[in-house]
Amino acid sequence: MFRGYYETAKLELPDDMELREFAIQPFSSESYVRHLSFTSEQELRSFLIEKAPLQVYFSAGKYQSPSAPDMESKGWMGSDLMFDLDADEFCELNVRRFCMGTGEEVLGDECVSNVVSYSEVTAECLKQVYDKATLLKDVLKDDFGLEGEIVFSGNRGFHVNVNCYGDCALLDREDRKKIVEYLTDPRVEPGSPSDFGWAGRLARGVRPLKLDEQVTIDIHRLRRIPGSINGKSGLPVFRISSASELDDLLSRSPFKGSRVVIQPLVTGELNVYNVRVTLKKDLKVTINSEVGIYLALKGLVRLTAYVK
Amino acid sequence: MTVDTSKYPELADINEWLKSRWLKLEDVLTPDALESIKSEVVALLEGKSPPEFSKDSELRFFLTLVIIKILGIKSLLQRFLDGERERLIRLLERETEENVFDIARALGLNMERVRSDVTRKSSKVVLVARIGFVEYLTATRGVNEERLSLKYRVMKDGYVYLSKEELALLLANLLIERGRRIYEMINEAAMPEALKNLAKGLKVKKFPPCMDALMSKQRLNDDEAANLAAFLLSVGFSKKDVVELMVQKGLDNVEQLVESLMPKPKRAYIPENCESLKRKGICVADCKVRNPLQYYFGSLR
Repeated sequence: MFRGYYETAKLELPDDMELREFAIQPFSSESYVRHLSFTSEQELRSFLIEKAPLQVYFSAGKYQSPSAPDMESKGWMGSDLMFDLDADEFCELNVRRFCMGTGEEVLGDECVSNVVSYSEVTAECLKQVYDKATLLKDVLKDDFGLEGEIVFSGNRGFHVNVNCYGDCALLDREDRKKIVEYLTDPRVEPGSPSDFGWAGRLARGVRPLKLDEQVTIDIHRLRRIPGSINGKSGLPVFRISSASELDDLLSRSPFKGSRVVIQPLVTGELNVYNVRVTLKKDLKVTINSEVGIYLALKGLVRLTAYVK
Repeated sequence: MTVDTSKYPELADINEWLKSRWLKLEDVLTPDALESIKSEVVALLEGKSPPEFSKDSELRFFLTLVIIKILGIKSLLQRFLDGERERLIRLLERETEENVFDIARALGLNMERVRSDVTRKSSKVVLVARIGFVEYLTATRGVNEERLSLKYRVMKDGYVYLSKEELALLLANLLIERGRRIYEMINEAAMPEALKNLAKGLKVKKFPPCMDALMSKQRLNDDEAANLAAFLLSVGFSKKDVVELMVQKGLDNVEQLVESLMPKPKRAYIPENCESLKRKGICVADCKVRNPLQYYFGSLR
């Protein structure tokens, strides 16, 4: 299914893709295949069709030799600025834990085998995070004069990316850390609401942001490709410009329109975004493929058949 | 307009300064000049405030750095530059805006004059300068001054805005970094014998390498701070000086720490022994002593 998707997927690639390192995560693998390099979309597409990876990325960094086997020999030429906002930081997620032996939901330590956790993310929660991503985009524009773009990760978070050139691209880890500190821990006194920068923002009651510092300071970080599939959900990564785009995320699934037979590994009623699903361990059912694939990628069901 | 380098000797090129007076370094090392430099370095070694140069300050600033370099005591350099920073801040805050911008230019900064304001503590603070944020970050790389972190600044349209006081703090720190670079570039082996002999003649109580290294670190962990504070108090530093130093190194609850290490009736606190410091990764050289204090007081040298 992933292979079929990449035959026609609209991948939004950087203009300087020949300077970027690409990486994939194959199915059934926890690790990544890194240090890949492509000079055209067609070359990348052929590779994705051949390998049909679970996830695909390109680097925030630009390199003289992007396929060199280690960072030292790649010849770093600068990096985009990346910010990561995750639903964990902004919403009270309902985290469900299932014992994989019995399939039952567990609260304490009563499971002797593996426990699979599943966080129920709602559209309302994602909209809260999107609001924060919009605030970040505005601060980057108003304070730093930088144009950021908001990208939905395809799962439960957002990335705000700034395509950097020149001096901005050459900011080192320490500089990037200071930018994160400015955004998350401003130390200016609240001034008058009409003041610029955080002085005015704090006076207007705007709260500082919560960001994953590691993502921003890592100049070799990998970025998800808009138009690719997030292997944790089966949903596409996409640029977003309105909260309403989060209303029916499952309808964006490239696997929508068909059905799959699933064998549940757990028992319980679950929310998949705003869709309610009832599962009973080992009781096979046929459901919409976008929901089935989502649950399979979360490790809660096994796909047993694809219904055309 | 050019900058008055007698007030800001960090901006002087000593070779140019000498050349403009048709002099060589050896020519200016008169007995009086050497005695004067010596007394200034001795004062520094005794923990007194660095000198405020009044005459030929470019030369005397440079020669002080040379003597410190020959002595090889990094903590002494730090003390000298810390004092110089305070002097520069006081001076820059009193300067005309015109002169401050000349100094910024001399430091290679693309600083723009602006007139804006923000509210602080219910009163308006005038912002007089702005600089591109990338240039600000680049210029402040490695500067050990928390108040210059970006998070303390107001920004707009890609620019960092500064009040005159903030600008003075920025420039003072950049001048100090320039002073540090002059120190790094000094080739002590190539200096005139008169200066080497002067340094040799100083009765220096050298900091042990471990404590010298801690003095030079920008941030200390709790073990490092406790050992350095105990050492400094043991060799006669005042409680105030030690507290100030610990604050600069980013520590919390400094008063409490230093107070706990102050000598008390029938009890004195000293740094841990060298074996223990080795285990904690604080020891940096084999000095053949049991405790850093023995190195300082020279009992086994």
